Amino acid sequence: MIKLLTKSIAVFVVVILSIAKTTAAEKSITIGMQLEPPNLNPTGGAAAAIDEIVYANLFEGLTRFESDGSVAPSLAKSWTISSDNLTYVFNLNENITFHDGLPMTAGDVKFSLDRARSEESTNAQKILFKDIDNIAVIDDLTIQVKLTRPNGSFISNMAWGDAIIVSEKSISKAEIAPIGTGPFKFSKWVKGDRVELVKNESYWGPQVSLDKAVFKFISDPTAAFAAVMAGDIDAFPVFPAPENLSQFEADPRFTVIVGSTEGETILSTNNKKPPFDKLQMRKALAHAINRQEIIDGAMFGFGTPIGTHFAPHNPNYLDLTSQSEYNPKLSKKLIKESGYNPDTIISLKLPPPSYARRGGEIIASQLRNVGLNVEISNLEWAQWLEQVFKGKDYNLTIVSHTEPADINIYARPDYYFQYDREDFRDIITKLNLATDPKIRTKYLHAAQRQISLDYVNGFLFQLAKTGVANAKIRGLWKNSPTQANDLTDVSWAE
Amino acid sequence: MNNSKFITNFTQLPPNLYIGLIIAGFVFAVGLISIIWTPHDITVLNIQEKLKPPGNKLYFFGTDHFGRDILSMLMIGAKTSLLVASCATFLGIILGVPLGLLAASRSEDLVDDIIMRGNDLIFAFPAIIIAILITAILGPSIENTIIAIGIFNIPVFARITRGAALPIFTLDFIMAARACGKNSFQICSEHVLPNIASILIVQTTIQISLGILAESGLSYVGLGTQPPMASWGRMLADSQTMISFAPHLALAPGIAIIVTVLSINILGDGLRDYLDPKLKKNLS
Repeated sequence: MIKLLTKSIAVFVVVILSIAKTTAAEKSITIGMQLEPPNLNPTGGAAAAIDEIVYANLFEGLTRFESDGSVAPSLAKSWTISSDNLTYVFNLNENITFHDGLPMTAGDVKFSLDRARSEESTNAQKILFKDIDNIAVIDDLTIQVKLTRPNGSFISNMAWGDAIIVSEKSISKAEIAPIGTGPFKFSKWVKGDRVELVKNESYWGPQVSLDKAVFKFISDPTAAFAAVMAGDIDAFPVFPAPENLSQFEADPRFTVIVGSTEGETILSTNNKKPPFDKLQMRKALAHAINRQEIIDGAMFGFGTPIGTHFAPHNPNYLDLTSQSEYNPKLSKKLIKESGYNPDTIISLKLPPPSYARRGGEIIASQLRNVGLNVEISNLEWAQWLEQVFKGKDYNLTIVSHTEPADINIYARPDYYFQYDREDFRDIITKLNLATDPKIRTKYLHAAQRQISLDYVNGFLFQLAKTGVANAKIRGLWKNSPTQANDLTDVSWAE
Repeated sequence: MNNSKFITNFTQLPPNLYIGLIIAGFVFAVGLISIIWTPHDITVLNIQEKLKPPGNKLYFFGTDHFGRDILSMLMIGAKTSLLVASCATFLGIILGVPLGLLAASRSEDLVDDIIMRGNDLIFAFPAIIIAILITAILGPSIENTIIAIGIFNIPVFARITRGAALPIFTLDFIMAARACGKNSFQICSEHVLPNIASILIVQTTIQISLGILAESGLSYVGLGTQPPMASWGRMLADSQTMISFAPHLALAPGIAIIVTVLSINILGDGLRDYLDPKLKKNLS
């Protein structure tokens, strides 16, 4: 009897081991993310979490961003630009099909771009398509786009996740069952837990080496730490708790990947609400902030100080941090001169991410130090969007603006920081018209300088991309030039 | 003469009364001291000194991720916890006890039914979740935390008051008082309340310890005390991701909560034994 029992146990163990071995054949990856997307349609909403799943994996556009931020061909293999910079002709790759088997042709490109720029479009970045005059299909593989005025960034606009090419047949289902042209196909979405993608065997380009990709959502930093430690998560590209990275670093099973993002973390200031409607008060605010202390205290040293709303790794970046050096004495003097009444409560409304909550406590302490009466309130994202972003009912808030090259938001007077300067809008208009890189640089510098001199917001630091991954994984993006987890080059080392 | 009498009385006190009294009194004293003095100012962050381990010369319990002194935060946390819990309990007493007395004095008509069914309604809700809802709607602040916790103390006191007062209303001396022309208010305050005071005092300690737990819970989810004020619950929440390399950050407020709640519970038991020895005999 006992013999039989031990025998059956031995067989059981062998079977289990063999099963474990076959599933452990490293062909799948589990990516950890903090936020679950509201849907999977990148053409209909602003949520970064959508692109972090579908960009380059499931959906593709005419062009795409590479890991270094440069723009490369994608569905379009080449293009020509007319001498007046108004007509673009794109030549598409051959034999591209959607995941439902339908061929992708120039007609789909026209449909997608027209849909994105139409009146009823809910695209979060309609501004990308603003200069398009008309789109004409020349043949199945050629499409011509005419602009109303030259736009130096049109090719890179087409690389955004909001400008992906979709099919008229399947776009209505894109929110829950997206169909694109990418190297991965949508498999299933277990709400509240994970999204699964599988390899697209009939992909038009080079095949990816992974068979399966799982995006798992873990919002709690402590649970995220435990999941990575236990090996349930293979990579957490944006790990929510920077304080844990040193522990991963000390563990040979993991690599810590620290790169740059497009996230300018700023102390957004309501430019129309007293007391910060006065330039002098905003200047005082800027000089009261000790950036290094915020980076050390809130981000455990990860992050680069910035003095304007521009990414430091961009070649056109101007280091203007000296413009708003930490100088509490000067700050106190300015506050005194501007006649600020210390009884006036300044609201500092903080969204949930730890950079905001922790950074907020540090900033509040720094501002109290110069005599400002700051009151913190912690908000959930929905409340933040309602009160701060839409309602503009705030003095100060902290948020990271993660869109690439987004200095143009300062040209929108109704944007939540309510910065209204005619001459700044002029700079941006001229910038949009310019196609010569040298002239663009000139205007980009002018724009950076202008918002820095106007002390529109407290410019804090460039958010670092602090990720952790299994040491055997190759090909993950180090930097984050756009919101994406591109898995096309990812593989497991032998 | 008087002095020696006091000492004999003291040794006859139930031991859990003075154990509880000493520890809870210590926490209370610490909270009081924090109003005028703490070793360090916790509203000033000192990032260079962050995450110092305990046993440091300057920082006895170490520092947190902002370089704030844990000891000072614990002291202020004691004040916050006791303040919120006692105010919430007080709110329950001043509204709950009169309601309970009213229900007991009118036990045969509709008033009693209305009050007690209203109580049942509040009891039907999960307390901490409604407290979260209330602070989420009113906005997080100390006052709103007190209201959110206090609302659930009202039916507790109303019910226990009614239960204890009902048998007293049937006694002869109430009849006598009525015959003397005393009105309901006089009867309640002069004859009923003194007779149920011991039960209410014991219940007060229970509600205070529950209030401390509720305040910690609300602060833990970010709806209680707001920064820069310190609260034990928020200290726990902040230390969560650092527990693997700085366990003292979580241990300090955790132990503080346990010790305080335990001591108040022991004190409550002691008070019950002292004020109502009959009750204990009946129970055992």
